[in-house]
Amino acid sequence: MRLEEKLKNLHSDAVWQEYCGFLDLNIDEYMQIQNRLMLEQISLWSKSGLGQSILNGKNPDSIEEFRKQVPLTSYEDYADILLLKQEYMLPDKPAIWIQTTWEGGRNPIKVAPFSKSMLDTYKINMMACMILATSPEKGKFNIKAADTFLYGLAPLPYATGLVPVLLNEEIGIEFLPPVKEAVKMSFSERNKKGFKLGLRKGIDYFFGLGSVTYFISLSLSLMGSSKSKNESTESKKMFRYSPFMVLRILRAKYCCKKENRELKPKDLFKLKGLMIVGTDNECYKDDLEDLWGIRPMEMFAGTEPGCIGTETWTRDGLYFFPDACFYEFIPEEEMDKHLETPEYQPKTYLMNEVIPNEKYELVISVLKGGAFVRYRVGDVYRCIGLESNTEKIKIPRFKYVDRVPDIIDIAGFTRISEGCIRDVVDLSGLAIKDWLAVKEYNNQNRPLLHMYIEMKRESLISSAITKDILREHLSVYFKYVDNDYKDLKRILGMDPLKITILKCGTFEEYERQKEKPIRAINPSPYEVKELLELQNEDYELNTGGWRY
Amino acid sequence: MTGNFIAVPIAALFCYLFLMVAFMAAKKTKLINSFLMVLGALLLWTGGSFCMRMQLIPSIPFWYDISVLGLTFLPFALFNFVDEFVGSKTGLMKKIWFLLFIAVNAVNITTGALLAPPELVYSGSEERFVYHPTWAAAILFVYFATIAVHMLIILIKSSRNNELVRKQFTPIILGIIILFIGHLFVMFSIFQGFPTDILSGLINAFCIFYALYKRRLFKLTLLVSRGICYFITLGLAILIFSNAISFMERFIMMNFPEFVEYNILIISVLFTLSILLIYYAIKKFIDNVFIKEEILRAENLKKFSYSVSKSLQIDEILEELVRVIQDTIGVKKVHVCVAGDSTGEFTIVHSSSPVGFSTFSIQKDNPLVMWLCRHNECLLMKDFKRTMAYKSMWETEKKQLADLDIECLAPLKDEDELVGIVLLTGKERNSNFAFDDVSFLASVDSIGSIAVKNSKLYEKVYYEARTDELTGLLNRKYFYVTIQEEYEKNTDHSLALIILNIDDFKLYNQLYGNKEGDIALQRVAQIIRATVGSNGYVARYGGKEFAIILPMYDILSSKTLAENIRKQILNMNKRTKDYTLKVLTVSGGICAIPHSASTVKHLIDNADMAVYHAKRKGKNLILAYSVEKRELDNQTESVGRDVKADIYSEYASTIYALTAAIDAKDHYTFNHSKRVSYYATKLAYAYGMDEDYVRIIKEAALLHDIGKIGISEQILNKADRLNDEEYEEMKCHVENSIGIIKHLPSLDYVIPAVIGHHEWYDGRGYPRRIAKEDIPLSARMLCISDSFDAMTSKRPYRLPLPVDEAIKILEAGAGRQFDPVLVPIFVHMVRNGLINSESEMDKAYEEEALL
Repeated sequence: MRLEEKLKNLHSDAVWQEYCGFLDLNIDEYMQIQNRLMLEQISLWSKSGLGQSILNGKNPDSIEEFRKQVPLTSYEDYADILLLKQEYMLPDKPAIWIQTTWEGGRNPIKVAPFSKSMLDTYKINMMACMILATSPEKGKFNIKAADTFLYGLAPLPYATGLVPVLLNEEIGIEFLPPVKEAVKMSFSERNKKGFKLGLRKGIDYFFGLGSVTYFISLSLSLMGSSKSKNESTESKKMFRYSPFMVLRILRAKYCCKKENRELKPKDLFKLKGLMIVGTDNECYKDDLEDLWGIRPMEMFAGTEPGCIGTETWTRDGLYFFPDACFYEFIPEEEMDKHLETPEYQPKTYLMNEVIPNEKYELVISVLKGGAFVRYRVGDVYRCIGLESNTEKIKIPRFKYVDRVPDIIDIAGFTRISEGCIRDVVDLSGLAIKDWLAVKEYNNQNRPLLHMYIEMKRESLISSAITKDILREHLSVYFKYVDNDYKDLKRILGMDPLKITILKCGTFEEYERQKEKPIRAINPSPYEVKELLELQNEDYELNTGGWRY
Repeated sequence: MTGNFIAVPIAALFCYLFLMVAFMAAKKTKLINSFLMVLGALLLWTGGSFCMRMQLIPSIPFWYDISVLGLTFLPFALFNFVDEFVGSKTGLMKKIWFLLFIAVNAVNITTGALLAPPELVYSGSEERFVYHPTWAAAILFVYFATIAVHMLIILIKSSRNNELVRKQFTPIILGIIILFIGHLFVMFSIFQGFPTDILSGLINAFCIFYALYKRRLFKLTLLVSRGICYFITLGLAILIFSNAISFMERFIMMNFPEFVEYNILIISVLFTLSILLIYYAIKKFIDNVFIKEEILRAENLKKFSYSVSKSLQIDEILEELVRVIQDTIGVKKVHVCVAGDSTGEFTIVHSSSPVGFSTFSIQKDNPLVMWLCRHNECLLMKDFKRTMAYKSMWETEKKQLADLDIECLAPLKDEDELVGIVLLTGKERNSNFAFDDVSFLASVDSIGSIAVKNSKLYEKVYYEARTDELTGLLNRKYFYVTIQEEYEKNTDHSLALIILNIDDFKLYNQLYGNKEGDIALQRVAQIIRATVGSNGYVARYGGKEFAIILPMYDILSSKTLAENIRKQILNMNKRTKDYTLKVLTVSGGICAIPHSASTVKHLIDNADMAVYHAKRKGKNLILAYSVEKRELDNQTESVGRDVKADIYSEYASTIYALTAAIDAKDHYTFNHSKRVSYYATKLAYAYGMDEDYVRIIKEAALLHDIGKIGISEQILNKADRLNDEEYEEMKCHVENSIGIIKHLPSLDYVIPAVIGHHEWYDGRGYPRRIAKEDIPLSARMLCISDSFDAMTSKRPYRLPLPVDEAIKILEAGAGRQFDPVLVPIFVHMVRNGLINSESEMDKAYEEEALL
């Protein structure tokens, strides 16, 4: 039975229980599901060619043995098999291959197989998110077959492209514009068409990357409040709309005039659910709430893990679905140890072992015939509680923090690694001696990539080196090396690079004083502060006794 | 109202009464009660109005007031019904509406101010009721309208976001609308004389009835009772009687004038007969339409209960269970799974279809099984799919159920224990499982559960009575029964008997303890059972003897089988991961009917005889009985002894080589081993052990510290106390000793003593921390001897303890470190000089060496 039929034939409690019942589990029941499905996955994965290539003849019988025998993995461990799409090597036959950017520039794409049962789980969990997005309190929701969905997603083969496909298997929600048309349109065309259709049919749901959702919302505001040069043009435009649409616009404009403010999407549309994914969502949540009148609900989904977690009606922390992946958590301390010594195998803890307020890197084993096991997704979460009294939920609750420190992700678009920046610096041909890159936030709470650069001393007199030149120069190469970086400008209009030029010898002095070099990517704020303070000191450069 | 439409209120009254009587019999809930209240209001209204128009006693105003009471009570009753249907909490408003209803009636009954009773007007032969409404009548309409609006608000509010609720409410809203339209139509002249209001009331009642039915708040068949039959018969009888009586009188008068004076009698008799016929016709009709299925189910259940109570055979019970379910519910297939005794896994043991389920099994940790364990009720797959438990199902498990097309599962429970599961596929006409089906399944399952439990208990007792507890094989008693049965069955064919006897099993027990002995017996039994399979019967014939009955086997094929078993047993202990165990061997004898015996007694005796000969010929041998074997002479025994002596002399050189090696490394340990050997030998003799066993003890004592070769000399000769690390290294000498000895298969029998000589009687020793009789006897003897010598010898780090002091320590440690039975024997020997001094010990040892 599809959700659409269930809504007609079942009591709402039964529908809620089926999709969101996992929120009533206690941690023991939750772990029971996790453990049982993990045992299934171990048996499938261990027998597969992919499993054997990592297990080297070992044959784990229990989860404990599996965790001891299988090291933590990253995409490199699977690349040989997955990039060639060697289906016979996989634990289960893939129903679809999903694609995403691997590491900006260096490795263009990575692909992930989804088995039929993984897709089924994805679908059910996606529906749970939809239900929760419309939910004002536990057990109450408002979802209908005739609802409309503003399309703001990347199409297949990207993971978000699965959403309309799977959603329409369950319920006849209408996408604005229809998916078939939307995938052929440019970003701005799609937004315009969506806005127009939205005015006629209303918009019930909106879902996308936090940053993209915010940008589209701003565009809608502009479209709604666009002032023509003369009144007659505007009146002509009005005639193109139906009386209902005109009424909607007029009512919104009256409301804005009364409150003396710009028009916002909330004046035109009454959203039932606003869902966002990706990084840096915290930067956009308040603004999105202001624009739409409802608080966005954060979901957690990705190419490798599928749809793994969601916030609830309180919008205060996410819960992981028990049947999507088997979750392990690397505590921050272990994460740091691994950053310092890459050979070190960090310890992992299970869902029933996490501690409140501790930061963890997520490790997943995709259940139901997934390819990835003990896979470091590269996301960091903070456990914010083991139970929630307000929601009456008895499983651990998390908040997304950011990507792992060795990757800089700007607004969910880029995955800039140390290697990627090194390529950019090399290609640029600039006389950069040392550098470090940090993800920071500007005054408007928007993410940016801040590079601290030290130029070669000998180049100072032969080259023109200003912040702007460096920024322009490096930006060009960032766009060249990383397509996603280009999209930041193209789609969001962002240029996230900020440059600070450091005094010559600063890095060397830091290394001399601390007896170790500073980490090139995302060192701690204290380390950056110490580095910057060094510039105030009068230190000797290792350049033949000259003092600067 | 003209006489033509009098049938409408009569029909309405009849329907209300019918529904009321029917619902009186239904299970009472707040919602059903509220429906009864609506029916009551409708009855008062229609009944009052009807009686008024019939001008029945006591008076028109009385019936008028009753009618208005019903009419004004109706909105409140409807409101109450809607309130209960939705489950909203409008307690205060409900009270207000009730008070208003009281007030309206109090005012109207006492003053007639709101709507006065109608005036009876005669126009010609026709009588008419004429109303004279005033503006005050509007108050009544306001009262009705406000309650109606409130009701609609409640309904709309609760169904706003829920399509299912909206569907449930539709008939109720429709009923209310029809009620209003009915009242509205009264105003139009076109409907003059036709009671549209009464008709709308009737339709409204049926709309509510339908809403309740859709919500499955009652079972239609439960509404039909004997009382209903009487009630309908009464109604029909009145109708027929009132209409047919004058016709019958006329008919008798015209056609049978001679019987006119008996016409009352004739009519009464005919009338009574017709009532009887009507009653039986109605009853038959109701039984066929409503209760036939119920009766059939009850009969099937009774039959099933009777059948299973007669049998203790699980197959018969399950067959009955499957039959009754399939016959009654009409499912395509029924399978019954029963839990295995050892695994707890549920496998299909009986099915309505003999093919396609042989590989089906459900693990005991399957979420489905866990759910059925927790809940004592049937489970529909479509409901289970909506639970969280379903999320933890494996894909293979889901597929398995889907392949069998399972739609419903019913637990067979014995109190809290799940003994079996009944799996039902879809119904024959692809209809859904109804409430009745589930109730029937629950009844069948509860009877079936008890029957399955009893039969399983019976089978268990039956099984225990004929099997050996330790090995799970047939016991000796049942062996005789089986061999006799098979002998009778195979008089025209052959029947072979193999008897296998484990060699030197007493020694094995002494070396490793009874626990290891039992494990060995179990493993031997396992090998024999696995090899024989379903070709014959395996029994534990004696303590260390196994018998294999092989119908249709001759001597040659039996010997091949026995040889196969012998080889497996020979290799059995070679594969163990743990410390090397002594190799076990078996000697076997074979005899077969008709080749070398003619009766069961001869068969057993001759097989026994063959075993005896195999033992005499050096063990680890399978011999088939033949008459010549009786002539075996006693030479075998003497040859056997010579061989044993040869083997020992061969071992001796190895032992001396090893002791020489330790002497070269650590002279103290060499001497210590000699002394321990002497003490242990004496103790073994004193404890009553035989020559062979004493020899083993002696050799074990000589080799017990051989592992010290691997310990550094600094630690061995350290003058101070050993630190923790050094002590840990020192402890390794036990494993080192085993590491050396295990490479000498001929000396493997000393391993139990060597490995256990540092174990404590209370389990606090090392390396295995075993306790009491789990420590082999030889090891317990070595432990006392070793400790005594260590205490009474001079060491670099301390002087020797006086013998008395050492004895005190031994006695204090009896039951803790030392065997409490052996310590007194040892102490007695020391105190009484039965154990000699060190020089005499050396002398004895040298003599032994010379020998």
